[in-house]
Amino acid sequence: MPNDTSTETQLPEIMPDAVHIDAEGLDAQELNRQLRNLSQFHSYVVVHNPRARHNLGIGLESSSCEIHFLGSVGYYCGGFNAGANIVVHGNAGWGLGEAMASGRIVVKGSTAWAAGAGMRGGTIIIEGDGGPRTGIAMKGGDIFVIGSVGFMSGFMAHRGKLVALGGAGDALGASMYEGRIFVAGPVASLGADALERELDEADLRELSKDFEQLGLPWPQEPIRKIEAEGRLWYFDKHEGRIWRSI
Amino acid sequence: MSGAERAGSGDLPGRNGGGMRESPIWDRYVIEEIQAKADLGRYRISGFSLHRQLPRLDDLVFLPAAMTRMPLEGYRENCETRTVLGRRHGCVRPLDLSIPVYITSMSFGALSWNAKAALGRAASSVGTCTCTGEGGMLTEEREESTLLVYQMTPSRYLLDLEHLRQADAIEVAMGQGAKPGTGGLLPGAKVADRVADMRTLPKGIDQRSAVRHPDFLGADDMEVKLEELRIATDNQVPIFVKMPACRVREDVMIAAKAGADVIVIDGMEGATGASPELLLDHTGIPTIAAVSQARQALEDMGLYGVVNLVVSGGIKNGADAAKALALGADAVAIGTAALIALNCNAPIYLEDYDRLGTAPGFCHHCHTGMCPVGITTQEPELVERLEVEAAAERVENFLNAMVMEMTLLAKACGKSNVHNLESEDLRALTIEAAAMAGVPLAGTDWIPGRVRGI
Ligand SMILES: Cc1cc2nc3c(=O)[nH]c(=O)nc-3n(C[C@H](O)[C@H](O)[C@H](O)COP(=O)(O)O)c2cc1C
Ligand code: SF4
Repeated sequence: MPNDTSTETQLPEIMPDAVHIDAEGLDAQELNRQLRNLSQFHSYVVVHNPRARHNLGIGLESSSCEIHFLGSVGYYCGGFNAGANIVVHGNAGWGLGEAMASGRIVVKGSTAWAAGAGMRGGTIIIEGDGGPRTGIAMKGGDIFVIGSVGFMSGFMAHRGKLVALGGAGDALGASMYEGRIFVAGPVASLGADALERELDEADLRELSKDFEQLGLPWPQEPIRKIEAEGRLWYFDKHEGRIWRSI
Repeated sequence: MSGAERAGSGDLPGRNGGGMRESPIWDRYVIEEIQAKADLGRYRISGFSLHRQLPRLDDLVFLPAAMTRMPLEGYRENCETRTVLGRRHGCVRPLDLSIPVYITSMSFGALSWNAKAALGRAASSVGTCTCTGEGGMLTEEREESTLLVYQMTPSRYLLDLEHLRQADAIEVAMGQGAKPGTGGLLPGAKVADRVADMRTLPKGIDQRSAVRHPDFLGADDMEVKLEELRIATDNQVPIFVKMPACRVREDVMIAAKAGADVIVIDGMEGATGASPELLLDHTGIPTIAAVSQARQALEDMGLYGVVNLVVSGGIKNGADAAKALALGADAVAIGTAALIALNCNAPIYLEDYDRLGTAPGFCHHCHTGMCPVGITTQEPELVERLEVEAAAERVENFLNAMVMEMTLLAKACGKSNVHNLESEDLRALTIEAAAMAGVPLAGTDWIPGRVRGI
């Protein structure tokens, strides 16, 4: 798993004209102001020494700039993202890309709880594992996790797509609305009202296109599609037993 | 008459009213409720407020000036009402209200678009704010409300940077007095096209919103979350934290430590568009108890006056509002009173109340989506009954009346600013109210639960 020191040496070569800022010594408000500013005028901004600090890259709007955090980030990195491209060369804390509307966030490591919470659009790519509640309450957009996702991932997802290629923990897809989960690998258990459905032609086409764009091979293990059955959508006496127990 | 005859005749229905004596345990409402549940197979859901007696602000009275203080001329001298909320973190635009009363969070979905627009217009005309509630920011409401508080609930409906930046304050909702410990509830009849769209939900489902925020749990996480909101809004606007009145002291301390600029405490009287009925009646503590506990908590942290306190739940008039201020609130938020001013429970469209099995004065049927007066419905033909301009004028009048009542009381107590009202100006009429509000029982210097000299 990458850490601060190893990633410093792996700085991608694509950024010869990058602007560099050192997070050390800047408070979060000031650092974000600088990011907001710089991302308007430069193609690449590289942030050194993020040191797992919280609230990095909040509310960024630019779509043409790539912002690289060289190391792990804390809670809510890329929160309220409105178009920025963010790359985290490390792990991420809770709520990565929460409430994001558009843009793209790539995490080279793993994420803690609730990546993509409530997101409305855009794409999150997690190259390691996603923690518990990945994609919780998401309302749109896509999350791709190369590894596994933790328990209760996709919980109460309204819409959007969560793809996990390395399996999932307990209660996958609990109490969803119109969200879709595609999972390959072992699933500890499905959540309340989660139902496995056959992948159809459209799903296969969509996933092939996604994998091609992401440069990923088709997974070895079969992909399962999880959606809501809809038994929790109506407060009906005939469903009394389900309502009573969950 | 034989013994047997006497016993028999005593059992005859109607004799001295004996046959019609109601059991205090199994009264007609309990019987009706059990039979309703036997039919429904689930708990009952209801709108409006609770159905039980409580100690409340009505149990307090003011002690106007007589010999020890000088009253102000009620009809001639000025009494300041301006209220500025949320200066704690030096945000660029603290919420600057002309009056210490504003319209509380009531979601679009629970309320109709016309109700939202009318409330916004009325609030703007008297220089106060409205709040979105949980259903996202309605265009009409943003247009009508000069000052609009944007609520962030666990469901995060329509929450993104674009909407966040249109807000004049952010309210992080941790629950509400009507249904503490549960999320919002919006029956399918109200999840019409526009509501479903704004909430990203399938149309017509019975929506039970989340209760826990998806990306923070404890106090330390919340501190980071509030910082995130401050960064996302570039510290332009204040951040409120709203909570139901439960473990008030601890909850207030946690929110204050986490960095709230304003804390909103919603007493158990707080109303709802729809809630399980048992939560209305059996959870939380009354507003009168919550205010003084919240104030004490802030005082003990040295943050009273730094973190602002807003109180809601059962505020009916200027007297309630003035008492809440005297007990320590900086402002009050009103829901039901504003809806009643709009026309809730007004004696019009009687046949439609009747169809719901109720009548003006008794209606609590907001959850049905069939509001006879167009306030809590998404049916276009019902919504049209609420004419925005006229409805806004009624709410504007009511707000003005409320503030006049507040200043009348303040001036009688010798205060040239409503915020100078203090708990020393109050006495309690009941032992319960004295204990809960922390003010002496009238005619004594006794505050139950407080040991003198400590
Ligand atoms: C129709 C209706 C809808 C409401 N929607 C919300 C909401 O979306 N979010 C929230 O925090 N409180 C909501 N509430 C509760 C109010 O914000 C407030 O706490 C309560 O109504 C205050 O009590 P009062 O009505 O006695 O003034 C709603 C209340 C009503 C009557
Ligand atoms: S009149 Fe309308 S707003 Fe008032 S209680 Fe009845 S349904 Fe609710």
